[in-house]
Amino acid sequence: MNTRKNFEEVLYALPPSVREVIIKIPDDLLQEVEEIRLRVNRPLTVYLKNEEKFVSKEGTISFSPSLAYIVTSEDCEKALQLISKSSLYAFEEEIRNGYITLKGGYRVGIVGKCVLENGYIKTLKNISGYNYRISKEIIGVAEEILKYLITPSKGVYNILIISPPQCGKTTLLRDITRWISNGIDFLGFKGKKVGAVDERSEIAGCYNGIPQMDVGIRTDVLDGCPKAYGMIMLIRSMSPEVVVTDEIGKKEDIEAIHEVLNTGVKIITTVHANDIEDLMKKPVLKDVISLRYFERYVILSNRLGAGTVEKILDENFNTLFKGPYRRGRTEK
Amino acid sequence: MKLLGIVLVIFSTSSLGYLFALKYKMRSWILKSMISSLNLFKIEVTYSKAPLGEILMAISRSSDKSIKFVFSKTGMILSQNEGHTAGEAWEIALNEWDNGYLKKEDVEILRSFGYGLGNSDVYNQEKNFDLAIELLKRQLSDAEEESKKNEKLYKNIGVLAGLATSILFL
Repeated sequence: MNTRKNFEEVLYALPPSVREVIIKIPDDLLQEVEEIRLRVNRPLTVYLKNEEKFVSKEGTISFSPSLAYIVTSEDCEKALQLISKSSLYAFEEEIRNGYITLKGGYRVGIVGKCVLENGYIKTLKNISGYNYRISKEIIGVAEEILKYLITPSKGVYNILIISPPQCGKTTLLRDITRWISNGIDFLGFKGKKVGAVDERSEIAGCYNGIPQMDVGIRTDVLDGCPKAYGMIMLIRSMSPEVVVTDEIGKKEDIEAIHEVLNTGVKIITTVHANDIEDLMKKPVLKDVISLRYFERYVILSNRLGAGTVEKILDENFNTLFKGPYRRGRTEK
Repeated sequence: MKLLGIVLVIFSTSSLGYLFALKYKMRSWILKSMISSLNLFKIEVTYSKAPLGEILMAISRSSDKSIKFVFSKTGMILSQNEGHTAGEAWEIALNEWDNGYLKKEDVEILRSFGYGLGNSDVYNQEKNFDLAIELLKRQLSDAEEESKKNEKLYKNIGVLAGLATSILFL
């Protein structure tokens, strides 16, 4: 059995015939699976060790699609009902955004035919592809780099995590959040009130409003709220000392960050980019760098696997820490 | 002695008559309970948007005992996470439900209601509920009419048959 917390919730959300195949995958491989993909009338695939592979009826994993289990249209129809626990009406907003969060904090991305109304996406129908993302909650990934993120006076820097997709930025962000919220004994750092704006339910993986991931004891989560509104809302309502949010990129996000910093609240966030230079090329995000909003930059890659820390830079872009460094995969 | 026999005969035949009459009454009663439970169900789905499993359990607690089973069984099947959709679970529950009082058409309405259960947005869910409730209401008025007609008939037949038998024996 997979040791990942609440992994059975992923199995429950798979159509029975696919579930049977998946549980036949040997345990040690199943532990490594990061994604399970269903595409109608095409082979069932899993993504592990940075590669997409096919799964046969007997649960063997290979590169050859000829023996693979073929996902039927019934599977796809059933999957949607199982993912929503037969409560599709409760997930209208999520479906519009293209993903549903499962109990346990796992997310399922969906594609299908968009139904438009007045130019806006009303819903998706004929769902033809599913991506079950088996997120990892790696407790302690941030441990080694924490000393670079805490000020000498035991405060928190404004931190920007820069990472290409699938390099573990949300996992790292969550872990940093947890440490800052709980307090870091070995650095003499006392826990701070943290407010997390979790627009896409990725940081805390809320299910019915309850965080499914450990985000720390002093963390308040505003689930499913647009970042720009959420950051301001949190500051007004919960008086956090640190605001955490994921994947900034829109103009209004930057304005909100500006406002947050004006109130003296610290901010920790992430952005999609390969490095600082890459970031400078993006019109909206350029300002964030040139205006020196952030005091620490953590740059990630997947050179040694997801979650590799390449560099940590200070506010003047001097290198404080040079990787690649990656904490061993001891906990998943 | 004879008198006692007569009383017994009349008593038993009229009980039989009442029993037949009860059948009609029960059908109306079940339909009425079902309509009110479905109304509650509809409100939970469209307003609170809670997960179906939870709603079913809540409805089963507040439902009349004649129909409790359908809701609790469907909710139970869903909570077991064996890969059944709500429609399938509802179908299983209906098939296991001891509904000797209902007519086949009544059950069919419930069955087709199940096909649409939980698999669409709020707007369409509401339509599904409204349709089932509307159809059940028609069945109810039909049942009430029938029961008005037949209840008296069966009760009278029961008593009269008892009297007739006694007279024959005398």
